[in-house]
Amino acid sequence: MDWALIVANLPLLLRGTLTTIELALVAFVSGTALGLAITAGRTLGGRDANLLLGFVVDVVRGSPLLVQLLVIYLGASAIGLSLGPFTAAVLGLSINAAAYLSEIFRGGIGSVTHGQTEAGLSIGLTPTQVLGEVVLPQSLPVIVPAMMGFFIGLLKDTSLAYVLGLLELTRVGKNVMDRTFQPFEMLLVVAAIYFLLCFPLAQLVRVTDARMRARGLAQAHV
Amino acid sequence: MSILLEYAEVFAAGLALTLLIAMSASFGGALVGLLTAIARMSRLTPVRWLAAGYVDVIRNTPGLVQLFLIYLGLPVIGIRFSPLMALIVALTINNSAYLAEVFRAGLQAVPKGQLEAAASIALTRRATFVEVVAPHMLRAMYPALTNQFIQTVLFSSIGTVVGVEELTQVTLILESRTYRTVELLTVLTALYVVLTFALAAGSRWLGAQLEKGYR
Amino acid sequence: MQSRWASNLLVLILAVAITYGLMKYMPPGGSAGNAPAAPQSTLDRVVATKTLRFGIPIGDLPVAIRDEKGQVVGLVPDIAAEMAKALKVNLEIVETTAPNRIPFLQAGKIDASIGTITLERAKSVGFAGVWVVDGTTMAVLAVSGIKDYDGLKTKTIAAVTGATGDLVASKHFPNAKILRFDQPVTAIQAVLQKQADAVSDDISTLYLAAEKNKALKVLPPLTREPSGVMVPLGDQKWINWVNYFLDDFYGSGVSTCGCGKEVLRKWLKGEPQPLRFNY
Repeated sequence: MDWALIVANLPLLLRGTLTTIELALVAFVSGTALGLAITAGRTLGGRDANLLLGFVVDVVRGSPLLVQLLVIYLGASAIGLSLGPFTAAVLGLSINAAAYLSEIFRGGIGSVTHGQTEAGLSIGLTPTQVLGEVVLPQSLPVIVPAMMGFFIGLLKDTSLAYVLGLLELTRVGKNVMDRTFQPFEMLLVVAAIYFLLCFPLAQLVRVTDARMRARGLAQAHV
Repeated sequence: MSILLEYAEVFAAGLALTLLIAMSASFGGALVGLLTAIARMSRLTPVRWLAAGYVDVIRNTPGLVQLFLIYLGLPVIGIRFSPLMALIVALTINNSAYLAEVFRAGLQAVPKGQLEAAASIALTRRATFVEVVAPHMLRAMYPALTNQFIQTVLFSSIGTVVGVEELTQVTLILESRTYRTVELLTVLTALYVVLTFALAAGSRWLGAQLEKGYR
Repeated sequence: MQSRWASNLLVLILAVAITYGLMKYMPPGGSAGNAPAAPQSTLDRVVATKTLRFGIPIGDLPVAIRDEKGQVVGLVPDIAAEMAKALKVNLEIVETTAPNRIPFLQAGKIDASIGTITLERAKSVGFAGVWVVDGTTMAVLAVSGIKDYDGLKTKTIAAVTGATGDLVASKHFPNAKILRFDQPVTAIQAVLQKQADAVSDDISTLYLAAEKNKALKVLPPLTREPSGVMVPLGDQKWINWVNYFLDDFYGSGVSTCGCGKEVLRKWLKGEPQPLRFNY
């Protein structure tokens, strides 16, 4: 186990880690925005919008993320767009995130008792206001931990951008181990870095979940 | 544009291997996961910690890295797998960590009242497990188990990076020969979507059948 | 319960219908179905955007690898740099995998790449001149005792998906099990880790790999293959310019350094095969 070579390559690995984190954050933010739009469209848009958006969500959730990344990277060219690996990865991960997050949002909304919606409408709020100011805030105890859990999954899923050649952590690790012929050590280091990123977040999710639950229960009494 | 018909055997072979991989990894993962869940509730602290550590490590590292470790890393210490075996082993391990949590939740989902009632009518421990605990557990865990299976079917696509000829890889090989990228990727996506739809519908039907015995 | 079934069935029907519709109305061959003759030549685009985007499979020497600083170095980056210099533009190296080269060229993601000239490929992309003559061979573990190709007829052969090593192995060894990876180095590792009996790839790549790794033994060449500069199909203006570049680079040295042969010698670590010869 030659650790000297590993140490020498740490700067490269760190750059890959930064790309991974950047990719995950950007995809998470865009995915949340797009996911909210999808959920709003499905809840407020009527039966047709619900069916159509539901279909799109089901297609995205029913195919592998790896295939989606390839579709965007290789397929964009067919409609005349030339995307770099990072852009394609962001797009692919965002759309995937939006689909899964929209389901999380819908689940959260469903957890709020219908009485809240009725009450809101009966005092003259528009459906949009009911969704945005009454239901959604009360669904946070359910949604926030789920979103955080999803972000951890997203951090791990960035490794799939490997197939696009993007220099995220896994690809960098592979390049280095191809050069130094130390696959075992290098992969352990790569796995350790992912673990150091994800494990603290996972603990944070547990704590937040417990706290939110306590608060959430309190709200249900209202 | 009937590329699906032109290469029907190729797609069928890839699809079959995908399903084989998913079934092996789910079955193996369930076994290991069950053992891990039991270990997590052990009275021996080191065993509990080991099991918990195992689950934490697997759940907080990407499956792709796990696959590389098994296929490319293990040979360094003498353990060699074919690409297919490496994929199945990696997916089994990956599954086992998630299923361990599912089993743990399932075991804790049995209402205590049921156990007390069983004791009060003097059911043996074995009978209690088979007639009371197991049905409750399976009922509670069924959606999570079927969902995990579908996720495994989708996740098996990572086999392409180590050359396993599951559905995604056979499509990419076709693409490298014919260059009909857009058609092939469309067919590939559609095949997965139809497959997951069928599996989801099938598992809902199966769930309804199983329910019939308990209403 | 009923409406759930109905909506699922509807979604399934929609899925099948849309897929069918897409398949029926999509042009065959994907992006290549659209007329590939661009109104603007790649040469004009490169000069106008001041960038030459060269697609390079980065995985092994002599073609290209990443060094410790993450820079791309190798035979093809050097040639690409010289080409960019001659055009007075910036060089942008686009990392591609062997299977991606052709779709990328067709889509205009890259201006040029490299690859063995095969007639099948020539239906989808253009080739501008030969820049190196290589070939396909196989490498095995020295300790395996395999001396010739008869011993490999039913063994496991590793190759790069879609590269000529893959095509040659598939064609000449139909009874062998072929493992396809997206990088040459992974295929070579498969042999070193005893997961495959042989690796089928370019002579130059395997020769260098054997030099770095004494455990490998290279077998006699299976084929001789001229590798050309790949360009978009039918782009005659660009093909002509690249042809003139290659003549200059490897011969006259009027507008370039004329150091083509030295560059080849540096990376191949040996005398390069003549670029034009009688088969």
